[in-house]
Amino acid sequence: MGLPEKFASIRKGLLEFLILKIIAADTVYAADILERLGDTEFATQEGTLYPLLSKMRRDGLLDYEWQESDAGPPRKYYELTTKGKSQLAELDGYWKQINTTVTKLGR
Amino acid sequence: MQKVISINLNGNAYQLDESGYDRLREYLESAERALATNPDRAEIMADLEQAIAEKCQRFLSPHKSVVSTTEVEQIIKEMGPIDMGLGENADASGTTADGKQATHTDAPPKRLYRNPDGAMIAGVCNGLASYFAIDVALVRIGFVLLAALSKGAGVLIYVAMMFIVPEAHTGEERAAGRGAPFNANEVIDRAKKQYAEGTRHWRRQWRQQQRQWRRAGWAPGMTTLYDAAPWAVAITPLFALIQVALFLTMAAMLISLVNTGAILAWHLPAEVPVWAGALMLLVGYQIVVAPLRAVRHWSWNLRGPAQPLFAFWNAVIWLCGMAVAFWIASNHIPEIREFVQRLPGLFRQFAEAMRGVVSEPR
Repeated sequence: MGLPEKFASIRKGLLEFLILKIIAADTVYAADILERLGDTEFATQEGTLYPLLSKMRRDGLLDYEWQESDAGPPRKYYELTTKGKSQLAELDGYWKQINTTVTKLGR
Repeated sequence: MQKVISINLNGNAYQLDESGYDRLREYLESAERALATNPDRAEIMADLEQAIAEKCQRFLSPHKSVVSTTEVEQIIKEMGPIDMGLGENADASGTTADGKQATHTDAPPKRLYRNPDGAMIAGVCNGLASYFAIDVALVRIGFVLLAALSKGAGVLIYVAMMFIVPEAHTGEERAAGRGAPFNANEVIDRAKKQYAEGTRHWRRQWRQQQRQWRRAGWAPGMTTLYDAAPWAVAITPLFALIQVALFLTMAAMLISLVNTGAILAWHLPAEVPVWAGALMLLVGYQIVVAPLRAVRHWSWNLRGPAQPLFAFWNAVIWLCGMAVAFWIASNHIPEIREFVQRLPGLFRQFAEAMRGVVSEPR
């Protein structure tokens, strides 16, 4: 089992957190999100992202609005709702806590 | 030479060669299957098509108007399989991204239910047929033969099952009655079958209505009795009164039957045992009271979504009241004391008759 597979489920679990972070920083559309994730360990495909985005929207974490684009049809630009922002803050705190634990434990 | 097929992806026209078209259609169909249970399916499908359209754009230029098969394959690879594993319960969709039905290794447990869909009486035969996966007609013929050969005892078995075996209300329960997994395709198949089977329409309608009444409490948006007929609400307590009166009549008849072998002044024919008369009386009472009960269920809907709890307490209070009334009555009214004393004997007679039926056919 290679290194990436060992952490496959952790990466999966972090994806929602990272998407919240990306959307919080910028108004983006789906392809932007994929692009930002693309160069990292979290590279994701449309087939995964779209169902996740629609689920997060159903959970009330984010919303989108249609915006005209200069190339092609209008695009959905995502933004965080109030609930999404507070969720992000909580996740961020928890993530830092986990990081401290990982650093402190053992050697 | 390849044929070129024009497609419409979320409002954009593209040309693909034939095998590329087949690959893309396969991908979209498997995506649709994977999203079958997703409430945002249409929206996600539109998003996917849009993303594919944008990727197609990349391969096209003023001198190239057709997306080739290898390009389609690359696009599909970039898109990746539909992954519902994130956040959604992973097992909510029974299909995997490559379109194969995920095999349910643990089939749901098989349970015996009465199936009211297409039933003649109470769905006992129908439920048995589902359970053993045989034709309903065979089960019905079996029951009729049994009833004829056992001098009517088969009817009693039917009646007993009518009360003992629960009725399947939901699709899951009906599926469990066959021991089959419940999925959307099956519901669609069943709906088609029902549509094709035009006969017995009115009976089904009546059953659906009854079922609706039973569910009334947690089916928001359903017409309440109040919407249908405001004046009717005023008379619903009347139905309860009628039901109580019927119950008392039935109880009086039962007591007189058990104590004296005669319903009020009418004597049972000599060949009919008392226990059979008592059973017929109980069944008859159920039949008479069913519409009244339906109306009262319907009126519960007025009380909103708390109905299941209300029904529960209603039943508890009713049972307690009955127990107290019965206790007082059996201590103070000699006829009722006699009735209680005669009951064990009645049950013994019934048990003996049943034993006779079981050993007789040899």
